[in-house]
Amino acid sequence: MMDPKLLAAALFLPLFPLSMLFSILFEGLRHVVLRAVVLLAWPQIGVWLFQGATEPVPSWMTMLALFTSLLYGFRALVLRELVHWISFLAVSSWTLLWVASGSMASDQSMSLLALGCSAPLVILTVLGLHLQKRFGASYSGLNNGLGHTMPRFSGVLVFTILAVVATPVFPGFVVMMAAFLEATHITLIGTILLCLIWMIWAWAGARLIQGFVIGESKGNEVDDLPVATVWVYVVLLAGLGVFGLTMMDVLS
Amino acid sequence: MSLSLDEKLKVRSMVHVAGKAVPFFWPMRAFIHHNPLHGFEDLPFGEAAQKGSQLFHGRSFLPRKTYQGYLEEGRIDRHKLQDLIDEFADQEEVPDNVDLTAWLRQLFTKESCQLGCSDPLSLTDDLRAALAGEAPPDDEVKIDDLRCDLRRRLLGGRPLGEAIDALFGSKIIEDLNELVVKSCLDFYDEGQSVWKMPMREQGFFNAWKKLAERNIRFTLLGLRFQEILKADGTAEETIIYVLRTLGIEQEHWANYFSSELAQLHGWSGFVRWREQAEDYHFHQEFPGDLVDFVAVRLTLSLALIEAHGRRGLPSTVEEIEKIIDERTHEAYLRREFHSREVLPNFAHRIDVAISRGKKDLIEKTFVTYLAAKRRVLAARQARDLRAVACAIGEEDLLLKQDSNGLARIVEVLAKAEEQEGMFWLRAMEERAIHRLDSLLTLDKRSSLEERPFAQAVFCIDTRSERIRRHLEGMGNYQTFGMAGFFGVPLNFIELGKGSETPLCPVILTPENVILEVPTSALSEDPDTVTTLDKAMHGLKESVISPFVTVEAIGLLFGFEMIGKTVAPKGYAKWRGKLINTEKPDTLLLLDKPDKEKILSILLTVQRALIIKALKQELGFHADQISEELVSGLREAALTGDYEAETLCGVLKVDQPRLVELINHLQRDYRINREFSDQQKEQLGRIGFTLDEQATFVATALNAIGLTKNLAKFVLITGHGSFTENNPYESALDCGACGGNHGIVSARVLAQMANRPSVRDRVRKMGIEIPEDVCFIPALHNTTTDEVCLHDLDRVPPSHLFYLDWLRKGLAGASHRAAQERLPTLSPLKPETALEAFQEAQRNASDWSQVRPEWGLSRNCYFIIGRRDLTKNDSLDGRAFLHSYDYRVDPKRRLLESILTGPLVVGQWINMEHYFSAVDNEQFGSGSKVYHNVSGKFGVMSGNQSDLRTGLPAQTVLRDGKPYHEPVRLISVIEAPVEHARQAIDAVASVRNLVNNEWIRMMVLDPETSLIHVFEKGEWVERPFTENASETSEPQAV
Repeated sequence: MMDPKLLAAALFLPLFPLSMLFSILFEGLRHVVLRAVVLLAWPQIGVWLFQGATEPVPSWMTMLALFTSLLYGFRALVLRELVHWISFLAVSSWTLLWVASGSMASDQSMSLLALGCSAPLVILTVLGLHLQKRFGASYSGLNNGLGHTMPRFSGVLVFTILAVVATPVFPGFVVMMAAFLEATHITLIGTILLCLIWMIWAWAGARLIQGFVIGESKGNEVDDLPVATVWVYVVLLAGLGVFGLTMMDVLS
Repeated sequence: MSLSLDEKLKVRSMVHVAGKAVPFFWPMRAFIHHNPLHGFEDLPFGEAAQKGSQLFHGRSFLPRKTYQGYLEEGRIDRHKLQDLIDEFADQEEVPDNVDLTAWLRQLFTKESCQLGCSDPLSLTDDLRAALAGEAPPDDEVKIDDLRCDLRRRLLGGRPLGEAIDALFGSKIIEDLNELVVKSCLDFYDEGQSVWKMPMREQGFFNAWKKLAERNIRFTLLGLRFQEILKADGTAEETIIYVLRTLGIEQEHWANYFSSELAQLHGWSGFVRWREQAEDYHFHQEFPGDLVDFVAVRLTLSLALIEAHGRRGLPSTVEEIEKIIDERTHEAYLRREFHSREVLPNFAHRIDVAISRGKKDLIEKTFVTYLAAKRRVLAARQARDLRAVACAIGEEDLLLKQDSNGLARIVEVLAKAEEQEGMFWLRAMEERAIHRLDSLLTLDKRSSLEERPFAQAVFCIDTRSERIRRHLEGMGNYQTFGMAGFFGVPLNFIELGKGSETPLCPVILTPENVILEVPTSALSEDPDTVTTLDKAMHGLKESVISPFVTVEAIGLLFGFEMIGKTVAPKGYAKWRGKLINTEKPDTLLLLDKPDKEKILSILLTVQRALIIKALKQELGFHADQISEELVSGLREAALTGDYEAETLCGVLKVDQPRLVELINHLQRDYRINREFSDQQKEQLGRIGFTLDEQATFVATALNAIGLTKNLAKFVLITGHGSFTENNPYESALDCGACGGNHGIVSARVLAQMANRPSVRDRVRKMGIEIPEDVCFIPALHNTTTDEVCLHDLDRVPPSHLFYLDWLRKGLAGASHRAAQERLPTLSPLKPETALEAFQEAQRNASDWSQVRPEWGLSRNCYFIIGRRDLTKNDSLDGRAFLHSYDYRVDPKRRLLESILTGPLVVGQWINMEHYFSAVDNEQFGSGSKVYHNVSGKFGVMSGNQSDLRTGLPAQTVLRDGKPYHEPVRLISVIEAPVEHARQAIDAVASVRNLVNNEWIRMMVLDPETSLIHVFEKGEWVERPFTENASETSEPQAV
């Protein structure tokens, strides 16, 4: 009989098919604050349950986590609606915590890394709100060319997406590294899958950037972010970078 | 499929007619300014602008907001705008009490919204409900209306790939453009590629066809050509096969070709230019025409469409029509989604619906979406209408309108918006005309009585205006303007180059050739540094070597990079010393050789070749070769008639060897009758007869009215630009010299005018050139404003004393011109004229400088008249100034030639600037920063794009806004009105341009002091007030 806490953790560090519940819930939320809260709290519950489990994680669950991450990353490739993209990337990155857990120096580390994975997604959610207010939706490819019309916003968006897709120094990168360390102990397939996941994230991120930032704008006049707001984002992103660097210690 | 000649010709003619809408694109080596809508010049400007916009998907007028800004700044005549609005309002019927003038004035000058709406869902009842704050009525949108709208937007001569892309979000057109560009780059390359495309001599389509089936990239993309290219079909057969397979009806073929060509109008413009340039070396070697281009494009298009068809997408017009008819709702949703016109908050829902493809879901989504879209459209339109109505106090009137009244108001507003661009343009031109009026001076007295110290003839180029003004300000100088080829059309063969460069406007075809020959000994050994430089380029351009080169000598490039970046001026000076690029002293061969001389030259060349052949083939020494032997062999090679035994005896060879030698002479050394005749013909083109030279000199002097009181020095000043790392350098050179530097033309005219024998003949034509007059060629460097004198070794000793004075005058004028110009280029504010001049020199040698000068930007006027007309005021480098004195031209021949050549070229320049400024991405060439030279004849943005035509953003825009004020060329002729009108009527091309208002023509009649302006098909008379102060808002022109 499997540890029920592990089973519950599979809902909050969502493994397929339970991950669908998270997606449905998250995409159904209308308010940005609620979305942010869910993004921050959901994996923490998962980590708490995971750490409370008495039995070790069976290897099939680790493989399922890798499969879930790959599946959701792959699906994110074709998604153009930002809320859906966030939801899928959230699932894809949180599931890696199953793999990475073995490389963590302490229990607290896992919780912090889960937070590190969620934080850029929260920033992205708030950025999505800016788009929604200006264009009616945060849908990539509809209002592209923001690099010309909203250069400050575009800068923040690009760095946030880089943080989400585990670019070095951001916490996602630490999770990815931890997963790599652990995966090499598991199988070669695990390592290959991780490489694929990372590549797909980068690809999905690039497509999102292309859909929003690159290209010719429709010519609509929109206000860019105020400089003060940009500084807030810069501080947050820099904080994430510093957080990521300090978290490098957790790799045992 | 085998076509009859008739059918082939039909296809060819259709392609060529379709291609007429696409302007020529000349190779960048000699950039030719052109009107992007040249193909529409037989239409009135407004109509052409509309059609051109549709075909090229570009904008023909500035955005309203920019015009509103101009209005605030006083650059637009408010009264004229009001007059135009009144005129429009008078012609339209609107419901009672609606003040259409007020509506339009408010809309144009204060609002940014568009009130006309072409969406079929925009219904008057919905609008009425929205105005009343109610929900739209439940009337259903007629499905037939939707179908019609979809057909109109997707079919009817548009590329089928576009329709498929619009419905399915595929990227057929994007992929197609990429593949066509790649194919063109391979074929049309002029020496940039190291690995050349094979079989190019067979023509574009034939060479491409043979490679297509073996092209691995095409295979990987899933393109199959076997069926399309089977049975060795010609280009015409392939075109017909593709169009029939796609199901395009024959009545749409011409439109289809136009649309396909307009997709890559840079490339098609280049192909179109190249096919008619029969003397163009690369065209002779590797022929390719528009039919080939269309055949390649259509073949690739069909292959791509079929590849998508295998994945379930439609691949014929019939299938698209079926989707529109049978799945109208889905087609509507698909088009909305993929054309980015969808309501943003519905995007995801529609994406899901069409991805799942379930009929119920699509129907449900369609119903919801349609209602939302109607609501949004109506609300948006109601909000905008209400805003305008509120501002003019007619809100109640608007709300009281019934459906008919509302529909009429919207219809009239939409019509006004269609014509809005022309309103703004006319009002802007009116302001420019007023400004010009205020600057002109009608001085009926003859000009200078006193003999000037020097007279300088400059090109009419707008950049000459500043330097002319400042030179005149330096003392007793007089200046004139004429087209920079100075009336002498010629082909020039530069020292050390084997090809001819035409130096005249592209609308002329020169027949005579001028050779440049050295007067000092030429160095036989190439300079070591030059050799190294060449070797370096060789290494860079090879396929493999760059990998090694970068490791081995990359650092050297680093030094160069630092030098060019940190200290461009100093580095350029140092490099100039290291690599001697100075040409030896040269002379131009101006005289036409007579028949005997031609034969003598030919004989000498053939003798030299025979001696060379004897040395190489038979190992003879020079002292073994007698005159008789050479003559005998020459005769033998030319006529084939010779005494074998005698020649064999002298040469000491057997008969077969002799025959072989003679064959060699005929074939390899080209000593044969046919080639000799060709050479005679070529030699006959060299130079001009004395009479021709005298005619050129007299015509030039007459044309500018310089027929008496000639100064000691007459400078013939060509112009050119000297910049670094600038593919557009030739766009800054002289347009009248075919996009080349003007110094050669200046040297030719000066050399002719200095010859006593020419002066004798000119005297007989009624122009006395005193003996002490010395014509000196000069070059005006428009980047630095420096004027350099040339051929000074031919200045008589008696004049040398004054040369220093002349130089000082020129230097002073250069410095002042640079000081006036520099603030428009650089944020630096040099305190002295010298500092400004030095800064301009730095700009010229800075390889990172994307805007070394503004070129012809802000050109606006073309003034044909005496210098006194404009002498007193600054025209700010905005006017082409052509000197003309109608009193010496009773038969109007000079005026007609000015109109035929310089004015037409001026109009091309003006239109190029106009369209590059109003839509730089589509009609211009975008930012220079992303440009890459491709094929050695054009530039592309990034690594692959359409050939960028037009001017770069850095030439016409500043901080993203137009620096060039886009108005049509305002031309003024100073002459009695009948005189001018008859000249215009006599030149069909100019009459057409004036009647269709591509040029704003004015005639200033000095005898009646009236200005006649051609407006809306008629000449309107206005009184001319000298130096009239402007009546309306102050403005900065």
